[in-house]
Amino acid sequence: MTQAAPEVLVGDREPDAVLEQDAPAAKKIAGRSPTQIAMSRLRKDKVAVTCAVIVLIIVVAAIFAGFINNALHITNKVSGPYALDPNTATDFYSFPLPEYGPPNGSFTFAHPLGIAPRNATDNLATMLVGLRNSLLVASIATVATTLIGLTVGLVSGFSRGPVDRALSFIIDLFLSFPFILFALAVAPIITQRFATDSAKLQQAQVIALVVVLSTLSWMGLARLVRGQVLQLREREFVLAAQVLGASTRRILFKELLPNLVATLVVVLSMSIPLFIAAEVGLSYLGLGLNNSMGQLIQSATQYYDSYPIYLWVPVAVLVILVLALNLLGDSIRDAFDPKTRR
Amino acid sequence: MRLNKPLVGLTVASLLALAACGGSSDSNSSDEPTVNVSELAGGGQDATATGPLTIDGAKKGGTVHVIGTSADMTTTLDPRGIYYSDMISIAGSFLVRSLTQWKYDEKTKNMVLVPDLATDLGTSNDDFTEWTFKLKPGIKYEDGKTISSKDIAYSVSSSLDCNTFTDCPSNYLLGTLTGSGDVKKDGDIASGIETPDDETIIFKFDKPFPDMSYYSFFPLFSPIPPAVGKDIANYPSKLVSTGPYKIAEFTPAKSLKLVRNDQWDPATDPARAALPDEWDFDTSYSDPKKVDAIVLASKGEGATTMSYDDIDSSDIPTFRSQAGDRIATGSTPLTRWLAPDNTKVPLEVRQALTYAYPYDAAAKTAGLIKDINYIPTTTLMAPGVPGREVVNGLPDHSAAQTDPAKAKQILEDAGKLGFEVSWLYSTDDPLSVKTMEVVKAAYEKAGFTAKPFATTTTDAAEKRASVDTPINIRVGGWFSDWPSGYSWIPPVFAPPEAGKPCAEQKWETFGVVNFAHFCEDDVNAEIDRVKGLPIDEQPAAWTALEKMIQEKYYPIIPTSNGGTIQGHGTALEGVNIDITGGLPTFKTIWVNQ
Repeated sequence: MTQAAPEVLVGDREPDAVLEQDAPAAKKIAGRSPTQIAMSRLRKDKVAVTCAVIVLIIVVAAIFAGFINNALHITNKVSGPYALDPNTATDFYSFPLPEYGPPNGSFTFAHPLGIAPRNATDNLATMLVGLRNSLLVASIATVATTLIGLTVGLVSGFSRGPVDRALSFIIDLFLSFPFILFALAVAPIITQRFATDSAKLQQAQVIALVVVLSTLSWMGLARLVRGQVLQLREREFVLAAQVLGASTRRILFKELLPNLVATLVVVLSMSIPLFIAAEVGLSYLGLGLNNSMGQLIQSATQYYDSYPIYLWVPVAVLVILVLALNLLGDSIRDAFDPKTRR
Repeated sequence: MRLNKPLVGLTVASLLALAACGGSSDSNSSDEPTVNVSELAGGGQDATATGPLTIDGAKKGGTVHVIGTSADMTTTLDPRGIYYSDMISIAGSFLVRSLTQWKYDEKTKNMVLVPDLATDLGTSNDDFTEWTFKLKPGIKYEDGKTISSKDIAYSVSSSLDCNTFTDCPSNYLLGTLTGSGDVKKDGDIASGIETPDDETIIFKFDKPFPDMSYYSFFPLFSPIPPAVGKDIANYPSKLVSTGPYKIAEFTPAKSLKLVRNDQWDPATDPARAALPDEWDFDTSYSDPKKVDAIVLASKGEGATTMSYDDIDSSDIPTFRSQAGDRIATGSTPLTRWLAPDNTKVPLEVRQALTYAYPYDAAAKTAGLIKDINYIPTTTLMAPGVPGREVVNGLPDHSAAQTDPAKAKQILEDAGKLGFEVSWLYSTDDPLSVKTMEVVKAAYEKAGFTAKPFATTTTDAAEKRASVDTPINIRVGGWFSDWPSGYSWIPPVFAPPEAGKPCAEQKWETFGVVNFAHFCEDDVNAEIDRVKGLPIDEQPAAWTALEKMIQEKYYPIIPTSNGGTIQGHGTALEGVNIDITGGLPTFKTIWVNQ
C-alpha cells in the first residue's frame, strides 16, 4: 500500500484524544468517532476510492440486470421475446453467425459481448444475471456468517466456564467439517427433494448454498471475536460497568460490541470476495446455481482459443470484482486500525 | 454393446433430451465433413475370407501412438467381461482372436464379418438351436502352446458369471444357452457347450439364436488357458494373447503398450493386417483440447498419433480448415429416441410430441453437430444393419422437423391442450440444464405443460431405468451389439418378461431398453416368429416388423443416429471408422514412414 500523506495527528487519536486537554487551542479539537476517522482516511485513499467505484458500478449493474437486459433487448434465456433461435443464429458448428458479433463477426451493439455458441443466449445478459446471483449469495452468506460468528464469539468470550468450553467445542466441531464434501452431499439431496418443481428447486438451491457457505465459515470470526472479548472484558470500562450493575445484555451490546466494529467491518469486507469466489467455484463444479458466473465460465472454457472473448470477459470481470473488493477490504482494515499512520 | 466410455454413455443417457432426432441431411452444404449414411447400407458376411490380409502400398513397421482422455480405456480388458466398445475394439484388433471377426472393406467402407479362429461363420441346425464351429488348426498362444476348443468353452462358461463380470457381455446366453444356469464356479463348463475334440466347439440353445455368427465376434468367444484364467483379478494384465500383438506394459485406464506376438500367423488371419511394430496407448490426458492440439499439430511423435475420442466440437472448424484430410468420420450403431410412456401418453400426444420436439436446437445446445454425431432419422435400426429401410411411423413428419403450430393443432383436435410432459435432466450438468431449457421452451410453445424432473448425473441412468420415476418421457439410446434386427427390435420393443402375455407383465423394470412401456401381444408373437426364420429371410422380416410397429402403434419417436469424428497425425494411413463400434479400424492402420 502506498503511503498517503500523514494526517493531522489529532485525527489519529481515538476518542481518548478528546479527553486530553493539552492540545493547542489554535487547532480546534473536534470529537470524532473511530468510524468517522476511518471514513476520512478512506476518502483520501486513492486505491480505496477507485475500488469502491468499480465495485459500485458492478453491483449496480448486477442489481439492475433485469432492467438492463430488457432495455438492451437481450436475454440469458432460450425462450421469450428477445431469445434467439439456435438454428438460425448459429452456424453448422454451433458458433454464432457473423452478424451476431465475435468470433466470426465484429462488434455489434445488439449483442455487445456476442452470443453464446450452441444455445445462442446473449453473453452480456448471462453475465449480468450471473453476477447478480453470485453477489446475492455472497452478501446473504456474509451477513449470516457475521451474525452467527459474532453471537457465538461474544457469548463464548464473555461467559466463563462450561458455556465457553461448550461453544469452543462447537467451533472446533464445525471447523472439522470438510466444506467441499458438505456441498457435494447437499446438492443431490436438494435436487431430489425438489425434483418436480423447477422454480422451487432454484430457490432451494440458493438457500442451500447460503446455508452451506455460512454454516461452514462463521468459525473464524467467532474465534476472533472471542479472543477480543476475552481481552476487553478485563478492561476497566467493562469492570466499571459491572460494578455499576449494568446488565449482561448492556455490557455485551453497549460496551463490548462498539469496540468490535473495526474487526467486524474488516472481516465483512474480506469475506464477500471469498464467498463470491467460493460460489463461483461451486457452480463451476456443478454444485451451485445454474445461472451463475461459475457456469458461464465453465461452459466457456472449451472455447478459450476459438472464441476467446466468450471466456475472458467474464473471467476478467470476476477477477476485477474480487480484486477490487480485496483491495477495498485492505484499505478498510488499514483505515480502521489505530496503529497505522498513513 | 456399451458406448466406449461409461462417462459418455451416462451423458448420452442423461442428455437424452438433447439427443435430437434426425432427418434430412440435405440442409448442409456439401463441403462439410459429414457422415454419409447412404454409404452404410449392408454389413455383409464373407464366410470364405482367408488370410493373410494385404493392403496395397502399405508399409510395415513403426509405432502408432493412441492418446485419449481419462474417460477412455477405463473398463476391463478381460475378454470374458469386455462390453464397452473401445475395449472390444482394442482386444479384438490386437490381442484376442474370437470365433469370428469384423474386417474393414475398403471398397464399401463397411465392416464385413469373416471367420477368425473358426474356419467359417459357424453352421447351425434348421431352427438355430445348435451351432457348430470348427477351429483352424495350429493356432498358438503367445507362449507357443496350441489353442484348444476347450479353452473357448472355459472362457464362455466363465463369462456367464455376471456377478464377477458385472458388465455382463454374456447376457444373450443367459437363459438361452442350454445349461447356462449350471455354472456354479469358475472352471465349470455349461452343459450346452460341447467340445468333441480340440478343434470343434458346439453351442446348444434352448431357444432359437440365429445371430450366433455375429455374436461370436465378442472377445468372450476366445480361448483362455484355464490355468491362467482362474486368476480372474489379475487376468487382464496377464492376458495370454492369440492376436498379432501381446501386452508389454499395461496400467488399467492409463496406458497400454503392445509389441509383436511372433506366434501369430498372418496366413490364418483374414481380418488383421497388423502392420505397425508397436502400439502405444496413453489415456492419461485430462483435457480433450490438449489431445486435439497434439493430433492437429502432428509434430514429431504427433505425426504417428491418433485418438479415438471425438474431436471437441469447438475444435472441429480448426481441424477442418487445417487438416481436413486427417479427419475420419463415420456413423455409430447408436440410435436415440424419445420414449413416451405408452401407458400414460396417448397416440395423438405422441404425434404432437413428434412435431413439438426441438430436434436441431436441442442437439446444438448439447454440443452435437448435425450429420457428424447427430444424424437425424426416423428409423430405429441404425445404418449398417442388413436389410434396413427407412421407416417413418408418422409419414407427414420428416426427420428433425419441428413445427409447434402443427403440434398445437394436433393437441387441440385431441382435446389434450396443456398435456403435462415430464422428463429427466441433471442439475449438475450444465449441458443437460441448458438442453432442458431449450426442450421446455419448445414444449410450451407447442401447447404442452412442461415439468422437467431434476436429478443428478450420478442418478440419471438409474432414474431413467426405474418404472417408479414420475416422468412420462424418457430418452432412449441403444448401441447395437451387432448389425442385425435381433439386436434392435427385441431390446427396444419386447416386454420385460419374455413369453408372458402383455396383460400379465408386471413391469418391475423396462426390460432391456423398452422405456416406452410398450407391449402388444401381436408384436411379441411376431418377434418370436422372426427369430425362428431362416437367416436370409430375417433382415427383411425385422424391417417389416419395425415398420408394422411404428405404423400401427407409433410407440417411440426415433430422433437421431450417432456418429463420430476423429483425428490422426500426418504419417498414419488407413484410419477409417469401424461402424460396428464407432472406433478406428485399428486392424488395418499403418505408418507411412
